[in-house]
Amino acid sequence: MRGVRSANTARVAIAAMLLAGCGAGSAGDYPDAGIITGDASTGDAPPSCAINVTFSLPPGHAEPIAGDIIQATGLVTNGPSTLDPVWQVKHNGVTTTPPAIDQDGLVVQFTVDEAGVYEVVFAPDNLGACSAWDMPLNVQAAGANSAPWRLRVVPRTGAAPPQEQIIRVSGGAPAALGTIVLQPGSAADGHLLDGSAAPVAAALRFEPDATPDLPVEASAGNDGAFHVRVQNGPHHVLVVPIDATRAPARLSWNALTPDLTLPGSDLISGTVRAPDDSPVAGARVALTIAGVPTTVATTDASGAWSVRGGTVAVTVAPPAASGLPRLEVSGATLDLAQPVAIHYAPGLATTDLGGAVVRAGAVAAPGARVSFVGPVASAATITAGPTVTAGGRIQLSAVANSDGVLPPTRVPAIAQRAVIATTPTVFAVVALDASSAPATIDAPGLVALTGTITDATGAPRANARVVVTPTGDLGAATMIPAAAVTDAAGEFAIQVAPGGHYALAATDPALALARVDRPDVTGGALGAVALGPALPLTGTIQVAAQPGGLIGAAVSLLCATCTGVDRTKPVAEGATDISGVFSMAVPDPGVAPMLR
Amino acid sequence: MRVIVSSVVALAATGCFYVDPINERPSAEIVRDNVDLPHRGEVAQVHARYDDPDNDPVRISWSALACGAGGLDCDAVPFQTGTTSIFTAVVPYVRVDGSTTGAVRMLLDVADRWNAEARPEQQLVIDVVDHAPTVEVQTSGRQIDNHYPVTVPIRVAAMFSDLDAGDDVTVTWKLFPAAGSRPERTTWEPWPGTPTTGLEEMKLIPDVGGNWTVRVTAKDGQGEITVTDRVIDVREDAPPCIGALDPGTADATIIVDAPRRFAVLSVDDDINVYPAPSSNDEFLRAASFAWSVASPATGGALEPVVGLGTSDLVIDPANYQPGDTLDVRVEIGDAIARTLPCDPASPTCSVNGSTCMQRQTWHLEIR
Repeated sequence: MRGVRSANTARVAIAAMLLAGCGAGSAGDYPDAGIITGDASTGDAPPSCAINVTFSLPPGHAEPIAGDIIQATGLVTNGPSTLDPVWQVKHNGVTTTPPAIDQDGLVVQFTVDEAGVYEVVFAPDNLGACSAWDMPLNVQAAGANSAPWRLRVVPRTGAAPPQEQIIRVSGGAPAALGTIVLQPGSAADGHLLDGSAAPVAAALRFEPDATPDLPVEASAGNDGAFHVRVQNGPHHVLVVPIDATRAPARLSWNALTPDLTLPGSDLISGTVRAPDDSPVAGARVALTIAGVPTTVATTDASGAWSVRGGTVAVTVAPPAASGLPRLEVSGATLDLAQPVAIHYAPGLATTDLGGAVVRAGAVAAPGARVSFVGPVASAATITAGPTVTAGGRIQLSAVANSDGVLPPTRVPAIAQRAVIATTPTVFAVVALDASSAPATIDAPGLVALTGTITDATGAPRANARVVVTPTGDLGAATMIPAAAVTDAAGEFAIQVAPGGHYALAATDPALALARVDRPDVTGGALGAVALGPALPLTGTIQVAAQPGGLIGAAVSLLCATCTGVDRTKPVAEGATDISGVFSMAVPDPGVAPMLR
Repeated sequence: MRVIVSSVVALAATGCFYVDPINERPSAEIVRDNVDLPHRGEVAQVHARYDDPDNDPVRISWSALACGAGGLDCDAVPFQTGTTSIFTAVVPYVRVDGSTTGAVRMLLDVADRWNAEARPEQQLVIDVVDHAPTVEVQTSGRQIDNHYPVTVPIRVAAMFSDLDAGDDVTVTWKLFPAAGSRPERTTWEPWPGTPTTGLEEMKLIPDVGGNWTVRVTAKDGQGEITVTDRVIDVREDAPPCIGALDPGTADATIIVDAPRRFAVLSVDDDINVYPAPSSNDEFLRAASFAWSVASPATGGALEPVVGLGTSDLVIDPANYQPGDTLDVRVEIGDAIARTLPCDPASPTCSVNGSTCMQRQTWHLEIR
C-alpha cells in the first residue's frame, strides 16, 4: 500500500523514537519496562530523517497487557514524500504482517496474545538512507508485579563514564530494553589549586549529583593537574589532599569549569585521655564534618591532637597497647572552636590477657590470631563546649607465639567475644569474660554449614555458587568470605566458624534463576535454599554519536531501594557481546496470585 | 529376414534391355557422442550414422535397455525409446528388478521405405560409471575467531552419501594430531548418541595447539573412495583478560569512607568468561579470582584472601583505622595455571606483555 507522508497524531500512550540513519545514536522510550532512555538531541548530524511509531492501548491500560489489541501509527519526518509502509510484528520466532486500518498503511492493529517481548518493525520500502524502526514492545502478563532496579553500565576505560538508570521489571514475562544510549560524558582537564593558586596534590572522587553511587576517582598530581571523564551534569568532588596539613573538602563542580579551588580550613585540636586521666599517645583521631573527613591526627605524648576540617562525627582509634576501645560518635554537636577533650570513662578498666594459651581441640595453637570484638557502652565523653557520650567498639587483636601463648594484650575488662583464627581459614567465635585474665582461650573446631540449592520447584541445582560472608563479630575481625559450589545433588558444605554469623548468597551458574540471599546464617544444616524465578532481560548498549554497539561493557542490576553495602551488590550481571547486546537473568517479581 | 525382390520386367525395344533396379537395404552404425562414460542419472547421447544406397528416406528406431555389468542380462523392456537421429537417454539408477544399473545397451533399427532394414542390427553397450560417495566434514564447538581452544571438545561430523541408490557407504576416520600431541592426553572417540544414517560424529579434545587434520575416507559398495580432509585450527587457551573494573580508575588513590565494593565486572577469555553468559554452552567455565590485601595488619605485605573466589571484595572502613592505607589486588585465572611474570610490586600485570591484563591493584586510603 502506498501512502503519503502523514503527520498523524493518534492517541499516544506509548511512544518510542529512533533517529535513523542520521549518524546519531538511537533512542527510544517505552515506559513499560521503564527502560529505554537516550538523548536523541546530542547527535552531531541534523535529524535528516526521523521515524516515530506510537502505540495506542485499550482504555485504562498504561502498558500493553496480554490480550490487548494494539494500534501502531508510523510517522516519518524529513523522509520521502511518498512511502510504501511495511509493518511486521515478531514474537517467539513468528513474524506476522498486521493489517492496515487506514488507506495510507501508516496505522495497523495487532493483538498481543501473550506476555513477552514483541518486536515491531516499521520499514517503509523507500526510506533511502533511513533505517527501519525496529523496537521491542514489552507486553505484560495480566496482574504482573513490577520492581524497580538500578541498571548500571560500566564501559571499558575511555568509552564513556559509568552510568545508571532506574528501570522497572514486570513479572511473568521476558523483557527487552531495546537500545540504551550512553552519554559519552565529558573529558575534563583541570587543576586543583589552593586559595593562593598553588597546586595541590590530592585524591579526588567525582560524584555525579544525579547518581552519587557512581563515583569516578582521579588523582591530582604535584602540579595539581587532573584528567577525568565523567558524566555530564553537576558533581560534587571529594578532595583529600596528600599533604596532611591540608583539610579534605567536598566541592561543587562541573566539567565546564574544571578547575577546583581548595578552601582554607580551621585547625581543630584536642586531647585524648585514658580512664585514669593519663594522656593516650598514638591514638588516631579523625572527624567527619558534614560528611567530609578531616585529616587524620595522631595524638602526641600529651594526648594532644589537631586536625583540619570545618563540624561532626568523631573516630578515635587508640593504640592497640592501650587496650581501649575504638570510639565512634556521629551526629555530635560540638563547638570546634574549642579544644576537643576526649576522655575515656574513668571506670573503664582493662585486663592483660598476656600469658593466656590459645588452644584448638585442647592443643595449643601456635601463631593463632585472636581478634577481640564487642561493644562498649558509654566508653568516653567528648567535650568541646557541649559534652557528648561516645560509644566504643573493641577492635583489638593479638597473635599467639609458637607455644600458643598470647603476648601482653590489653582489652577492656568486660564481657566480649574473641574471634580466633588458628589458621588463615579456621575460625571460631567464643565468648570471653575479660573481667579477669583467663588461662586459656579455647577455639572449638569448625562446623559445617550445609544445605541444598534448588530451583523454585525444589529440584536440586548443580554448580550453583554459594558464598558466605562473615558478619557481626567475624566481619569486625576482618574475616573474609568463603565459597563453595554445589554438587550434582545441589548440595554444598562450607566449614564455618562456630558461633559466627554469615550472610549467604547463592547464584545460578546458568543465570537462569535469580540470586537468593540469606542475611544471617550460622553453622549447621540450612536445608533447602531455593533460587528465585528469573526472567531474561536483554538490551543493546550504544554510546551516543558512535556507530554500532558497545563491546565488553559490564551491565549489572542493583537494588534501587537498599542502602549501605547492599546497594553495591548486583543481583544480576552481564556483559555486552560484539554487537553490544547483553542478556541476563533478573529476579521475576511475579504475577499477583489472584489474577494468575 | 525379409527380402524384397522387385519385379523384373524385360522389355525388348529397339535392341535395348531394361531391368528395374533392386532395392538395397540401408546401412547404419551407432556413434557415441559422450567422450566420458556416464554416471547413473546422467545423459548418454548417441546418434545414428546411416546411408541408403537408393537414397530412400529412412525410419529410425532407438531403444535403450538397462543392463547388468558389461551390458549383459538386460531388461526386456527399454527404459527409453526414440526416433530421431540423435538419441539421448538418462541412465537409470536402478533396473526393473531394483538392481543397480551396470550398463545400458542402445539398439538402433534403421529401415528404408521398403522396410528394408540395416543389417546387422546395430547395438552399442555403454558402461555406466559408479558414483563416488560424497563426504563432508564439519566441526562445531566453542569456536573463537575461527579457532578452537585446547581442552574443549570439538564435535566432528562426517555427512556422507552416494547418489547410487542402494550403494551403501562406510566411512573410516583418521586423525593427524598437531605436533607435540600425546595420545594419552587426547580424546578421540565416537560422539555419544544415536547413530544416524549418513552421519557419523567423533569427539576430539585436543591437547595441544596447532593444526589438527581429520581425514574421513568414504567407500561405497562398488569400491569407489572419496577422501576428505578437514584441518582444525586449535590454539592454546589464551590468557584471560580483565575487562571492566569497579572502580575503573587504575592509578588514583581510592578514598574509602564507606563500604566499598572492588570488583572485576567482566573477564574475556576463550572459555572462562565472566559474567557467564546465559547460554547452554556446556564448554563455558567460570573465571577464577584471587584476591589479596595489604594493610597495616599484614605489615603492608599483600596477603591472600584465602578461600574467596568471588569477583568482588568489599572493604569496610570500620574494620580499619582512619589513615590506614591498603592495597587491594585481584588476579584472574582460567583453566591453565599461569605464573605472572611481573614484579609483585607491579600494580598490573600481563602474562604475555600485552594489554590483556590479569592483575589489578587498587591503592586505598581509609577515612
